[in-house]
Amino acid sequence: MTTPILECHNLTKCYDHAGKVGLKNVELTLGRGKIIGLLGPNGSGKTTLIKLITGLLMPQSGELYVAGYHVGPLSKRVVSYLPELTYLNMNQKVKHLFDYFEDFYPDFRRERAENMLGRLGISPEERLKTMSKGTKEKVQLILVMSRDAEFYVLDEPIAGVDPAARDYILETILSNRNPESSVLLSTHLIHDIEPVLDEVVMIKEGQIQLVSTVEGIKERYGCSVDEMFREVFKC
Amino acid sequence: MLGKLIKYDLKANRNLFLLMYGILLASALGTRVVISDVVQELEGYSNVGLVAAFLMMSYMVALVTVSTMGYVLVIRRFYHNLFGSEGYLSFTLPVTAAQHFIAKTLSGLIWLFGSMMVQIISLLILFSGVFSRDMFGENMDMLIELYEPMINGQDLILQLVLAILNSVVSLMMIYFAVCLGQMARRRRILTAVICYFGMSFIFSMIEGVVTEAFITMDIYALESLIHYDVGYYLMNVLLVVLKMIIFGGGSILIMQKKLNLE
Repeated sequence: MTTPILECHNLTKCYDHAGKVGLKNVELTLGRGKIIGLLGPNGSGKTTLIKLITGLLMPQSGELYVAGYHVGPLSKRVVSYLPELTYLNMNQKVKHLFDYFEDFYPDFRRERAENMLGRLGISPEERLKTMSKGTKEKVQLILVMSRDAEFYVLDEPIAGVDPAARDYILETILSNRNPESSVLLSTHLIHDIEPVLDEVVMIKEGQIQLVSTVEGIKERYGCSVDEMFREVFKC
Repeated sequence: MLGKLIKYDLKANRNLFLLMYGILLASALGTRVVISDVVQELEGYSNVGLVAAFLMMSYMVALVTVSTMGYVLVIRRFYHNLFGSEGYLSFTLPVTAAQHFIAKTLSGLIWLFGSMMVQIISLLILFSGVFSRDMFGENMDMLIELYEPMINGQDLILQLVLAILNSVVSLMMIYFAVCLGQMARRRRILTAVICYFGMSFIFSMIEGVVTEAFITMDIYALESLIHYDVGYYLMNVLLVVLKMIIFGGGSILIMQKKLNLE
């Protein structure tokens, strides 16, 4: 039996200021080989869960395992993470960023990255600071998706980009991931992402509201994921 | 992985450091060339004197800049790479917080010691062959007589080792202050500065008390400038080790448990 890609047991994260609860007693298990949508409105706990998975935050209580490992260097080796913001050094050239990823991640496939870069017409000699916001995000996505990771964790990958760029990002995610790997996509733009999802996790105020396959939602509730989302999170 | 982290930390500031070193050494060389002309024409004013004064001032500015900017660049690298937006990449690399801290400390020390060596080289360039013992008269003889035992004795080695260890600890204290500062919700840099001065004050008090309580020699005697007893060295080494544990361990603990990226 293969180890789940993610296991959360009684996971709780509070933020010290104002006693705000990021996550509360989350129980979640995600299998391998799926594209999972982490759906919820702003402030629901999506980014908190992602930061716990990637080791950027520590939980107050509970346990979290990624590919069977406690969060640490071993789990980080198998996770390919795309944050919401630009996390690269703006003064660096693209080719040097490829060198960096190649140095630290044995699963980074440089040829794949260079092919994707070439298709976008971006020169490896360009510095990030000379690029538009959308192009920077594409470079980040290329770096992340050029790894043969077991778990891709993408935080709001299509927010703030034009519809054409969204299509490109989703197509890149689908065509470059290892079929045995899992992808966790957080978003509140359900309509755009629904066609690519296998499963959804809906989160509200730090608590899991629903975990289901996309097909399961259609069969059980007779509606799309987008409609389900609107129902679960209506104001 | 540690080696790779150090490599990229050194590369990050390489261009700026090499530029500063180049300017300093060029300034030293230029000033040296002009000064040797001035020394030969001490009897009268010439335009060379004004140029020499300007170049000497430029050299002094470059010398101070290398010291100051060296620390600024090293600290800036620590802050931006770990607690700025780059922290989202740094802390998701398959490395431990301890490896991050050690890499930043070692790379920072390499640049700071490198800066010190370049400054010494620039001074040697500037003053070699220009000034002679005869120019200072009997004062030079007295200075040499006073410091000769230190230059020739084991105290120099012990004092050098202590100076190096204190340099390491100084940098670790700055890093610890930055780690403490990033825990604040707002005004992180100000918080870090306050923490730094607070810790400096506290440790100065502790060292003062320890020195008074445990060191029996007369530290105000002139001989103490050139020869300390074993107790003094032992106590200082113990204090250095204690500081390393506090600053290093504290920084790593904060990075592991209390990371608060913007």
